[in-house]
Amino acid sequence: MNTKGQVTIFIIIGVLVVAAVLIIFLLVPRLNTGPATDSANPSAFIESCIMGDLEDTIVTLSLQGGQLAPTSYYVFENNNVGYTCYTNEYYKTCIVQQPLLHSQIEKELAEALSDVSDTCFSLLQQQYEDEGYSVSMDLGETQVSLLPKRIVILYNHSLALTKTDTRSIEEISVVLNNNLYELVGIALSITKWESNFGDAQTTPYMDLYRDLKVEKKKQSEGTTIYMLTDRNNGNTFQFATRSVAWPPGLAVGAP
Amino acid sequence: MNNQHISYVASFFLVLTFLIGLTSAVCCEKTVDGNWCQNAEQDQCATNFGATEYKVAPTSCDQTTFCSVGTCIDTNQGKCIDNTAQRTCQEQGGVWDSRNSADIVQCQLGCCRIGEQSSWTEQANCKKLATLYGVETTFRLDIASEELCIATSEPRVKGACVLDSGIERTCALTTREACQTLDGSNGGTYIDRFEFEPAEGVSTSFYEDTLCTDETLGTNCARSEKTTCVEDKDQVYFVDTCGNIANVYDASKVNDQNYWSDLIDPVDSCELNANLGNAARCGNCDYISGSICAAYERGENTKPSIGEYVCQDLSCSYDTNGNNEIDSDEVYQHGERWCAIAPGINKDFSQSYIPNPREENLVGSEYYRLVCYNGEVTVEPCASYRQEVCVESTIETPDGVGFRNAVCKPNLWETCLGQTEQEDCEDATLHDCRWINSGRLKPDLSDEHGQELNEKINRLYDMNREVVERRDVSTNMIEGWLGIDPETYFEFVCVPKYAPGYEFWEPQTTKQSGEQVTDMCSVANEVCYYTTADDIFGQTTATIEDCGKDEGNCHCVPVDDNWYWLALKENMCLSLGDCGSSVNYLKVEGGDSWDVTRSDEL
Repeated sequence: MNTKGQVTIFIIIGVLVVAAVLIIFLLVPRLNTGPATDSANPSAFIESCIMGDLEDTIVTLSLQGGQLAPTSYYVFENNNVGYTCYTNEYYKTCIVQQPLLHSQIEKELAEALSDVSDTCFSLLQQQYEDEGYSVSMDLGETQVSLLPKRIVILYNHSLALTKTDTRSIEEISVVLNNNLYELVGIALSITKWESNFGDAQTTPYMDLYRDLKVEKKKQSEGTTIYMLTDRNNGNTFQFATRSVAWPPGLAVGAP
Repeated sequence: MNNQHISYVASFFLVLTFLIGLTSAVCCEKTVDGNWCQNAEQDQCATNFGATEYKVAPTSCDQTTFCSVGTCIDTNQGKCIDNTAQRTCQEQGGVWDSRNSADIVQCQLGCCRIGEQSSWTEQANCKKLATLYGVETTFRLDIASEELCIATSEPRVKGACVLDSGIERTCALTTREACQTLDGSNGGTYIDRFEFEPAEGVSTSFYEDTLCTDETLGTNCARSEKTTCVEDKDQVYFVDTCGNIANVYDASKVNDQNYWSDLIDPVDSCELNANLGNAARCGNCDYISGSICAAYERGENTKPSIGEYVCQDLSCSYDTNGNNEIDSDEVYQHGERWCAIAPGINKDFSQSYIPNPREENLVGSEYYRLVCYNGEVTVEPCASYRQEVCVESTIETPDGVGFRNAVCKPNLWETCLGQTEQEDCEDATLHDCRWINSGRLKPDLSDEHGQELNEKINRLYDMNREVVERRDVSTNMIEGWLGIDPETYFEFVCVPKYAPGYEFWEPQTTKQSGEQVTDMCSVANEVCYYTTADDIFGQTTATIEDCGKDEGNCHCVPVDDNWYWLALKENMCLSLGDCGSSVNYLKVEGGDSWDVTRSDEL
């Protein structure tokens, strides 16, 4: 068999393979790309359902000083960065505005996820009903916890699933690996320094925590933006302070 | 305007600032933009939000009870934070204490040991962490600092935990306590280096300071040529065939059975050279010294002789001087900090350097600090308007290389004008000032000295007219030619060493009254009278030739705007800040702000 004939055969085989793949995609029912439908693992279903919103909310919170809609903020690189410590005066140290930053973030997350969580639980219920279960659901409290290296969302919703027998699920949890807890802890430490002394050094934190990058950007009207970045995963938490600001020249009065 | 007048002006300014601050602001418990406890104008105060009412008081916030600050205790996390107002704390779910955190027992910071790690935190937070991690913790108040706390972490005793099921004899490198739980039982007696009292099923034995690859243990774990990085550790480690971490990577010992038997402290392992020259064969990295374990990446680090991990150099190369080359002094060690070279700032960053106000600290210039960490350079701007300047020093190190350190230092210029003695003025511990010739003759200058000065200036001008009319001639040079000690004839004044920046495009007014206040630049204003004479045509002229020895103030005769007195005044004006006729940091010339007026009438 000559070379040209061999090439022709290979081309024909290639065309047939491509055609077969196209037929499979067009004619065979598509794979379900929605949330996990494993009814034995409702936590995985909920996790898959809320994960997009959860991650987006965490990013927004992290870029805005732990607040989704800050009322007192500094605009930095198109983000409204909330103040953790603030004074409008010159020469004075700031007053702490967010003393319980961990708890604040937990509350913000819980509120932000409320609607999407309800939707996901409705979908879960629908999924079970489609599988022939009779579902009784009692919605309880949602608790968000910032913990070392993870964020845990605990739904105290009770589900009773009845088919041939009845199965009860009292608690559903979603765990996201994230070091927001640690970054917020460092942010509070820096806030303490700002409120006591009017400034904080960045390098001691990088000496102690090898994977942490701390950046400080002073702005012309006295605000300082701090950016804490985990070098391993790029997660960033940034916040603003305004403490012991110096006026240009001998300007008199508040800005 | 002599030194005493300048002091009065400066003092008046400060008192005015204080009084204006006192009389017009109120204390807002909450402002309309959501800030707690701010002194602001009445219309900035939020009076209510829904059913919640917020207080307003016609005084400073630190005089009120509702905005006095204390410590907010987060009982959930066990953490404390100072300088928090009571309502701020309570509305966010905390417990408020009027005392400073240092005076509250539960807010005392100490060293919290959690497993092998340490954390500098409050005792309540330490207990919280114990609950979260499910481990025991110890809390020590006798360790005085965070650095000491982390430096004195005591790693738990580790060794080979051999598990024998009768079918398989395997091993895990772990702690004694973890080994005791691996077989699922809680009882039994542990005897060092002997078998644990076996329960049914798997028996465990713990061998302190021994690796799983010790041949005498007879486990199925063997040596390998695999390496890895370990979380929270700097070094590259060997890994055995069971996946256990072994000793620090040392290529010369990969087949040394002794190196695979005993657990060896990194301090006793191979030594990594300072320049990482032997990084291919030794994985004993050290973060403080500038190296850490990282995966090998071609072009990024050295290829290891064995395995896929190597000590990565954390130093930085940075083109600080902008010449598109990395010079030998532009390789920075991990942790070094230095001042960026930017247009219009000091050419030398040592604290003792005296800048030239004509060329340095120009309008619009700012200082930046550069920091090298983990092989990356970050830029930190110092405060704007040159309210901070970057100063740099080098710490001597035993290897002679030196370690650079830089800080953004506050520019302490505001008290300069109030200093009347050179020693006080140049006290670098209190201010950043310098002592210069103000261009004003001493009020008590004798006639004899006055005439002497006039004669010298007259003679000098005759001899060196072309030279002294050049703008680049310094006052020091002129004084050298004159052969004078300027302190004999002139008043000296204390001015900022680093000329500060102003919002000179805004009128200097008070926010409250809109009334014009004195600005810094006018401090250099001066009226200097000189004698004129009529020429043969009856025209009144004033030239240096007319300024004879019997006539006064030759030093301030304006001759084509290039003269000694003008040079002195310009020096003073530029030193005060963004004043005078100068260029900005982009070398663009400013408008003509010199105004030398001549009046024929006294």
